[in-house]
Amino acid sequence: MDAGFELRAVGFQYRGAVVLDEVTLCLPPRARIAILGPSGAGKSTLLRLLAGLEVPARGEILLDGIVASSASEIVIPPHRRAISMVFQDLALWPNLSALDNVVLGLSGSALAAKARRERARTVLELVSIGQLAERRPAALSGGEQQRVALARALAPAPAYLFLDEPFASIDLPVKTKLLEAIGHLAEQAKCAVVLVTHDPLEAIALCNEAVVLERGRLIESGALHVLLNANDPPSETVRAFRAQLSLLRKLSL
Amino acid sequence: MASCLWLERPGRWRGATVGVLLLVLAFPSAPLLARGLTSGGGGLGPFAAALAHSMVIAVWTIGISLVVGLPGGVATALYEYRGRSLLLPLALLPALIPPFLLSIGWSYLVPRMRGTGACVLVFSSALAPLVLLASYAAARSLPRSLVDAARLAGGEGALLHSALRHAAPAAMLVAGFAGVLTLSDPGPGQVFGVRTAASELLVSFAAQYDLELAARQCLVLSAVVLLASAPLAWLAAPRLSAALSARAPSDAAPHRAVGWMWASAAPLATMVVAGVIAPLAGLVEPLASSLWTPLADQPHPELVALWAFGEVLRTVASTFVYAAGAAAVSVALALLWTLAVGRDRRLLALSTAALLPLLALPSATAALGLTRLVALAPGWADDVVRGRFAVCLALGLRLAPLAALLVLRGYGATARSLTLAAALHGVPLPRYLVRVLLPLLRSAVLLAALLVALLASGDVTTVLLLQPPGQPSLPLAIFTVMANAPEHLVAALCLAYVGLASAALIGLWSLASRT
Repeated sequence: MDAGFELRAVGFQYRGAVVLDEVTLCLPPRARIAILGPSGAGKSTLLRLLAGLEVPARGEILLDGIVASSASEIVIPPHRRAISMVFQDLALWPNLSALDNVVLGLSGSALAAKARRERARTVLELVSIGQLAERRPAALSGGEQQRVALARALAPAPAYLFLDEPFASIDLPVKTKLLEAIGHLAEQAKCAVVLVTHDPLEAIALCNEAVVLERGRLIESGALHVLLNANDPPSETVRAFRAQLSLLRKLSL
Repeated sequence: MASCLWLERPGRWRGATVGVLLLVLAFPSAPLLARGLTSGGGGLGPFAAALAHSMVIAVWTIGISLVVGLPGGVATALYEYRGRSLLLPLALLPALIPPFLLSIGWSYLVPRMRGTGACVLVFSSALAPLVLLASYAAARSLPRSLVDAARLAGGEGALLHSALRHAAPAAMLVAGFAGVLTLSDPGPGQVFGVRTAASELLVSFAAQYDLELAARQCLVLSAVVLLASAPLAWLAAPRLSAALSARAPSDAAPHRAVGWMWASAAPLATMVVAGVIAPLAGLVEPLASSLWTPLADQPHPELVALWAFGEVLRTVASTFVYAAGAAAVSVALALLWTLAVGRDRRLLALSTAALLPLLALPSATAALGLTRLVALAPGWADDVVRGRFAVCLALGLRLAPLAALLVLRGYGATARSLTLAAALHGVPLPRYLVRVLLPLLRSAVLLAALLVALLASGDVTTVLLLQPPGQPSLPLAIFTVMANAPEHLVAALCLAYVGLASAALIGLWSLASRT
């Protein structure tokens, strides 16, 4: 049985400041996990450590039982971890068309050049922007850019899809459609989704589990509905989420 | 397979590479240092007086550049008006014209113009554009919300006041740096008959052929330049490195305020008159006079044109090779420098603090050092070290700091996440460089190459010292004949240089815009 990701007492520092401290948790395959917490809690850093884009200062990260990163060393490089990520700023290569963004994103795959282009076109169709394949990111709307980023992330058929606050700067109708599409596509692709967010509705729409970080420490984790319905949640984040949700409930009544 | 993460990871190799590159840039000056230190200090008395004179000129240049450039730059960033888009590039243009050409133009327009005042006028015309540009950039970096808040609080007066205060530190640092640059330029001193440190140095090696004396003088001048520019660079480094690594430009667009447009138009117009119109008029005047009232003892206008054409033909290939070669060397070093620094803030600050003083050094420092190295080189290396390559190398090394600063700015404007995404998707490093990073740096690289080529094409000292026999550049040909040839002959050559440089600039820029 696949073990997924396992973090063992992972720590990370940036310019001498502790960003993550003794974080221990598991991310099983095909899980839908929201990483919650206030700004500066270390959510994005956790994602980058899992992806192998940062090196932990302490502890180790295992992928399917094998050490992927240990203190000051990346053992399994990022592109061998079956991870794709939609970055907060989307990180679309601005000088390439939507199609070329997806094709270049398939560099790590074993597909031949022609097959890569076909795969890229298929995935762009899948996220409903096949007709915009030749446009560069600057010629696309915010929502369309999100879809290109999503297509680039899904094209290599990753086992883990990381979403680092990708909806922070888009309007509500577009966000709603995208959340729906991502949920559907991730289900089809049978990949795990790890979402970093401040928004309780995003978390509820996509995830069924949650990890709460505050000041670099893991405060609580578990099924999202259990965390939200607990009598006295230990984290400020979950208390704030509950307050927001109760406001919405009042409105619906 | 090399990972793209290599571009973003810290490592000791970065500091080591920057150290090696610094040594490469300083390498040509090392023999000069050795020679100057071992040859005693005789003959420096008159040079000390000339150096003091140069410092007076530098101080006046700093003051005038600041008085014109600071308000001009700030007001141009804040206000939009008809003609602004033409005035601004014209006002910046003199920074790209060799000061000795401006001096020749002024001296023909006002024949009685001599002495310190004339040097200050020309240096201010050439260097106030740098202060203007720095003030403009600083004022443009004001967030729109701050601009709106200042306007709401006290109208245009309050906005202008706060923007001037915001831009003043950058403008003062650049003005100080511009003052240091005047110490190393022999042009205006030579034309206006003023004994400046740089012109004394030029006379030592070009007229007296006393390389020992020139080495000692150059060493003293370099030490003064380093002493003056190092504190400025140290103060400017944090501000400059923050600007180099900033991603988003300001969103505050210039505003149409009819009553305030003069605040921008007046300084800009002054700079255009002093730096472009007057010198050009000065160069055109002798030609026009010779056409309308040819004197009996002067050559016929057609002969002048033929002679000028012949001189241009004789020198244009060398000028182009020196400019293109210098651009290639500078850009290659700048790219290496940028990859080595990456996003390491400490290295970026250190680089800017080191690059500015290197840029301010007199071109004679590296050129005199290289002449020493060339003399030591074995005979079989003659084709390389005594050929055009040596000139390209010397000019490229001298101007590499400018190219490095521009390419570092280009790299700072790209997002780190682009590289992280490439690493995550397994894009091989060479493919990422070719498909994404280098195309994104294209504008910065092109601008660096253009500026280096233009500045290299106008350099006289390096070409004079290192040119292979019979292969001068066009500016050197002008410099050689300007004291003895009739005015209209010199003017014809100067105009040919300005025309060729402008055509190259416009042509390359439009080509780059199309691609």
